[in-house]
Amino acid sequence: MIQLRKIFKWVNTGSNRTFLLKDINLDIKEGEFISIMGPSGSGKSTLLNIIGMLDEANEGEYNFLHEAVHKLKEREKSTLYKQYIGFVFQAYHLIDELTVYENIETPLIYQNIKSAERKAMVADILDRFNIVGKKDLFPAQLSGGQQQLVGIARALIAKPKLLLADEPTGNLNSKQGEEIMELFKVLNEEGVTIIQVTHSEKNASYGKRIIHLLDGRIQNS
Amino acid sequence: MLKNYFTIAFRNLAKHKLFSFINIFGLALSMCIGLIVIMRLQDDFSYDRFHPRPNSTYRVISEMTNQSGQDFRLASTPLPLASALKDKYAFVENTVRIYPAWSGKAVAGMKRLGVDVAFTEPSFFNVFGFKLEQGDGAAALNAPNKIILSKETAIRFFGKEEPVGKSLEFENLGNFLITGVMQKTADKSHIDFDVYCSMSSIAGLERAGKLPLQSSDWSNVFKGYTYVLLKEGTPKKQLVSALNNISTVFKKSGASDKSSIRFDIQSLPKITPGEELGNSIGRGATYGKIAAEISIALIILISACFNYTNLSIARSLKRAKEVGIRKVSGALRHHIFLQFIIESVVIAFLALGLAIMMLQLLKNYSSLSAEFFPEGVSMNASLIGWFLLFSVMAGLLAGIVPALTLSTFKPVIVLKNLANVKLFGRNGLRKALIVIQFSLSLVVIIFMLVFNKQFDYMATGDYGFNRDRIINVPLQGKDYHLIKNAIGTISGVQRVSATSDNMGKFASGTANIKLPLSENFVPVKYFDVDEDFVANMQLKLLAGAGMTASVGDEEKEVMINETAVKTLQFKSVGEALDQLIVMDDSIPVRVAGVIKDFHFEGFEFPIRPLVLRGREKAFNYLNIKTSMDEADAGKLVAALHTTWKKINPDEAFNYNWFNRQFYESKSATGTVSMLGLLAFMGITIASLGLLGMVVYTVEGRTREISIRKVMGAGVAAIVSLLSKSFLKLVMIAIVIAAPIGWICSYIFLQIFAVRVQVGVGIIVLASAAVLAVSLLVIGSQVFRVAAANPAGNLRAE
Repeated sequence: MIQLRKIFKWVNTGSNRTFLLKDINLDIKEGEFISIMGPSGSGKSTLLNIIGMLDEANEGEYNFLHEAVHKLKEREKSTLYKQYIGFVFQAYHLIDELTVYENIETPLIYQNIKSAERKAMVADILDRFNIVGKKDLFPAQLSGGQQQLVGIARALIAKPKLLLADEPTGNLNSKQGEEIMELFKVLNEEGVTIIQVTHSEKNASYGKRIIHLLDGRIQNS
Repeated sequence: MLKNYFTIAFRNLAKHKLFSFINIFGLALSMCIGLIVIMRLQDDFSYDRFHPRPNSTYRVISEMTNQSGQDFRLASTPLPLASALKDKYAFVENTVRIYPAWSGKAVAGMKRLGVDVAFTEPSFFNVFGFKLEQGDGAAALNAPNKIILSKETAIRFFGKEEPVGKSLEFENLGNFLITGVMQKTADKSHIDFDVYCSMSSIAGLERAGKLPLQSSDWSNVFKGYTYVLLKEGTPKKQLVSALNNISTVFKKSGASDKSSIRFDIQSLPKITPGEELGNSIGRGATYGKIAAEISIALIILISACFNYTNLSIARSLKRAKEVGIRKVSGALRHHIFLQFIIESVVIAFLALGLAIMMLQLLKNYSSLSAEFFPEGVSMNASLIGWFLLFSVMAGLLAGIVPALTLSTFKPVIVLKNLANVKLFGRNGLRKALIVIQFSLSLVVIIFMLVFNKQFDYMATGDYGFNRDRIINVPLQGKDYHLIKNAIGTISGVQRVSATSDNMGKFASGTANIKLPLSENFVPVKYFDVDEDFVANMQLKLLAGAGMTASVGDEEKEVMINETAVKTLQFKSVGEALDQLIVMDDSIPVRVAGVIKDFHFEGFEFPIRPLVLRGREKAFNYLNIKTSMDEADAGKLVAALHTTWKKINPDEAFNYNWFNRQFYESKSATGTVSMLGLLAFMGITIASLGLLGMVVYTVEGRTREISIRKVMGAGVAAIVSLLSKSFLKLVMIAIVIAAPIGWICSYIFLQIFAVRVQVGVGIIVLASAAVLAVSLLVIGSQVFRVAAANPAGNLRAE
């Protein structure tokens, strides 16, 4: 599904070039559940952003479902991304002015899905995550765990093949975190490919494969 | 998708109330002006839309070069032109002349009212689309002494009675038979007279000496207006070349040796609004006026849109996260752009609603209503259409920069760490906007103060004639001696004099004078006054004893002013005394006195040569000098009233205190309040802009301020730290605007012959006012933050 070849990413500060990622080579198959681990500043989030097409590598090749992402234009990338990728953030990143229902609906709006169909899809996922009762609340009225649940629901609403999670449990207590991880496990069993960045060994162990990053390099996978 | 955009727009408005208030209120203020201008424009463009063949109908206009080589374009043409065109050129289907030869009092039964009369021909009803409500259009004006009344005039004179068949007496002209009443239409026309009289009446009136001989005078370009209807399919250049021929022949005949006249044409729909012409026929806007109105509205609108732009950019950091999330959820740039444009258009529509409410208030409860709103204006579909279009434009104008900025945000940056987002260069723009707004407001304030000072000076200044304790009474054509003598005996009346017109506005007339042996006439202004006038007006006689009691119509002696002495090239005032001078409309007369120069035409004009004559029949007003002020004169006025009624039982007694009447006519209160309103809007919008910017800057620096306070900074230090940068902007605005305001005012003052000084005082006062307002705005926000407990802010981090 994903092939990364000789990916380099750097930033220039003054005359110094600081490498964030160095020579990343990675193959990920459909249906995998991968945990990326590593200390702060090791390039975990950068790698995730590149895979998620939010960021671009400075060098190297990236193939996603046989498309050469590094050669695609912004618009084509966006189409590809809309269709196949869902994103979950540590800080949930819900839109404060929208209700739970509207937040979950947002990705569908940008995929030109008809209103009736959107309604059905959102209703399904609300039902599945057991948050039907919360659908008219605003994010500020929810607990962290519930907000993250909404965040995941939003990421999954468009039925992506790949779910990217950047420290999804970082702001949650251990019980809430565990619930989220259990959910990921179930999702993975249903066929969604998951890549998560995490600090926690325990959460990482939910993954079928763990990738360790140090100073922008993959240690051993 | 749109629903989602609207939802979030409204929720954001509700959540950020201050921001919404500043934007909506500021936009509404400026849109209010915009809407008024739209209403006026619609009115301006609604003239003369009801004529049968507008595109084949033209008005002939004159281009004149006077002796000193200046060019004029006049709406009027010599009266014989029409027949010259119609007789010689077959492609001319019809012509109409409109000759506004007379205006004065008309009498029907007990009613005596002022009317404007235009003489015209039966073809009036073929060329124009005017219709008669009563009477037969073709026959109504086909013989001498027939008149048609406008609907209003008919009602003014006859109420519900049937006017056709009755007659109307024009004072000095005689009786005229009413043969028709015009239909009142909703359509406006630049041709708008009270009475239309048959052109064939002119010959008789001219023979009888009741009207000046002008109808066959090619050299008089000022009196008549000529309209030409061309036959179907005639190109207009045929008319142009015909007119060229006429003016060439005219030049050869030597009819005007010193100045030259050429003709041009104006198609009927282009008369109103049209170019600025001298001697224009009636109401109706010119392009110049329209352009001025549009620019004022645009300047105010742009200023308010600046605020939106400014605040939205300042606030964009708060929206950045939302943009990031939407992009992660699959939004493309144009989605985001559209969303923010919709948001600003929503704000514009809300502002439109508020603006319409303000408009209603202004229209119904403001004394300025008549100054702002065109007559008979009401909401109609096309007006509402224009309003909506205008709001959309305002929304786009305000929203485009923030929408562009916000839609470029990259999710990976804005979602990671908001503090890293930098809006490079935007600060410069925002500061510039604030400076521009304050500069504009200050210029308007300075201009308003100078304008007010000038007009106040004009209303109260020393013109060289007395206005204190003087009551002016219009004579209304009654016997001057009888009334003067009767009033003179009332206690409290010191002296009674008479004049043709009250001083300070327009002279009663223009004549040409020369010395008996001289060749050259020089133009002079004149008034007719009686022997007591000099004393009443406290004019200073420099030589001679002034006029003796007037002796009816035979003119024997006059008084002249110093300027006239110089113009006639006397060496001294003494030399002019008792000399004979020749006036072109009279017999030679003796100079009975020389008067010190005074501003008889007001401060608008320099003092020109003046002749004070004594023709009794020209007297229109009595000036009654009293021994008391207005407040104590209740009894006196009552006595005047009784005396007047004893002599003229049928005529209402009218009077005015000269001082007050003069003040009201000169002070331009309407314009001052309009400028005041503009200045108020300007400063309000600028202050709202500043307020918004201060609020968001201060909010963004709360943490910094808390840290500084923990480090030991006092309230004063914090206040000065925060205020300094804003005050600097206001100071820059003052530095820019003060000279511009001074220069604008200085240029404006040049149109007055006697003018006030702009003065440092006004500039300082205006700047101080602006500074005070901005201090208030800045202070209100800064103190709150500076005084807050830092612990609360830091804990929240």
